[in-house]
Amino acid sequence: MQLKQSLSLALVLALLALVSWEVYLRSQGRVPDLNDDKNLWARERAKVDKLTNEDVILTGSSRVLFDVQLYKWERLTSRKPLQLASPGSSPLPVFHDLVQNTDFAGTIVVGVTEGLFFSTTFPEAQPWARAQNKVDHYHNRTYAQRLNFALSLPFQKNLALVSINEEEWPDDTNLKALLTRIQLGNRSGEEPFPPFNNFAHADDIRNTRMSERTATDTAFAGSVQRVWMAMGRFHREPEKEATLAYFLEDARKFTARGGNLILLRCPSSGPLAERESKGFPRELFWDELVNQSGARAYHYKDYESLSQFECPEWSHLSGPDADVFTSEWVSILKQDIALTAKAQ
Amino acid sequence: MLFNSLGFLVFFALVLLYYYTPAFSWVNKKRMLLLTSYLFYGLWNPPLILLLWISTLVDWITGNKLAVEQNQRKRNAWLALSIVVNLGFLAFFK
Repeated sequence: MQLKQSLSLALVLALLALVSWEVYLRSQGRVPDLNDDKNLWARERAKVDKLTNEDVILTGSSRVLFDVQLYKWERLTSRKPLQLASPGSSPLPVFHDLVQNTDFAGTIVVGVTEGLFFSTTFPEAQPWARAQNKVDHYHNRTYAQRLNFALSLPFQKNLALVSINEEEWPDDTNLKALLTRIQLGNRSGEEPFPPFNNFAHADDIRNTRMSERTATDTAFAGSVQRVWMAMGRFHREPEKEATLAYFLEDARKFTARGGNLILLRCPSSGPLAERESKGFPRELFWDELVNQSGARAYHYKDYESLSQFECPEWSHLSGPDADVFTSEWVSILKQDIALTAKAQ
Repeated sequence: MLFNSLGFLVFFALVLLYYYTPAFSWVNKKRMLLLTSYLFYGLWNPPLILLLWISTLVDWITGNKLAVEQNQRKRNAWLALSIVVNLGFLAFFK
């Protein structure tokens, strides 16, 4: 048996196949993309212990991820905030973890997207489980998982063929995504859920920007808009009392130790914004949250400089608009001397 | 550590390299394999290396005893101890 020749041939063929696949993907306009998954989140969460009372942690859902640009913030305040927002998630599990499992007493921004914030406290419900999964991973991750993640980063940053996301976008490049894209016809007769393609890029500190295509290609942005509207099918009654009580308990504990709590309502537009204001009337949800928590609160509609934006897919700001939003919001925060924790 | 992970690929390549390096004697190769086994296990959950240490210790003592013990009943008892400890771990955790 000529094992060495067989091994060499197998390696050469594998390499050729990988190079061909990479070249094909690049020719289709695909670029390397970092997987903003629980590993990356956990790496950022691990930095909390080294933060001081002058630092800022961002929590919330995807709007905080897209709309608050970390590098812009750093240029304006000389400090880079820590991004711990989790897309499609309730912010409550992450805030709870920060309050209960750390002694951080700086500033925590909690992004409020009412449909997620007031959704549930049931651990198995998706908005809760998505965030809790990240928190649990941080506390339980093994050294092997850390090693795998560290080794995967150079590949993620340099190869389009490993552009795979925890969200399992149908336009990922792994086998599962390729199979998802095969249309086999609608046998159930139910209206199919529209394809939900990746519309953002994250870097290794989780600074997230809407993709250029989403911001400029109205047909593509329309595909995301259809997803938001289709999500209305899964509407559940909000658990306002339970979520409010859960959050307020943590908020009280955090502010009692000198922490600075800031609530932020990011912009939304079009029919989605209309649906949100009908489903979650401001006076019943946002205003009550602000009054009961006693936190500094910033609703985009209250500021001319924050309400000048049109979200391309109705829910998030484009990269350039997010820069402006961050810049305008930081200047408001500075004006209000809002970034100073009591514990300082 | 999963066998289909990048971490294992690197770990396996390094161990293979150490194993075939002429710098190690046969005894040191065995020592190296023992240590890397602990490392492999510890990368999952360090405190549980204790289990591997217990298994190593029991099997080491059993091996030594079996090499010199002439009494068949005692030999069987040592063998039974080793089997019970090792399969016991397996039964408890799997």
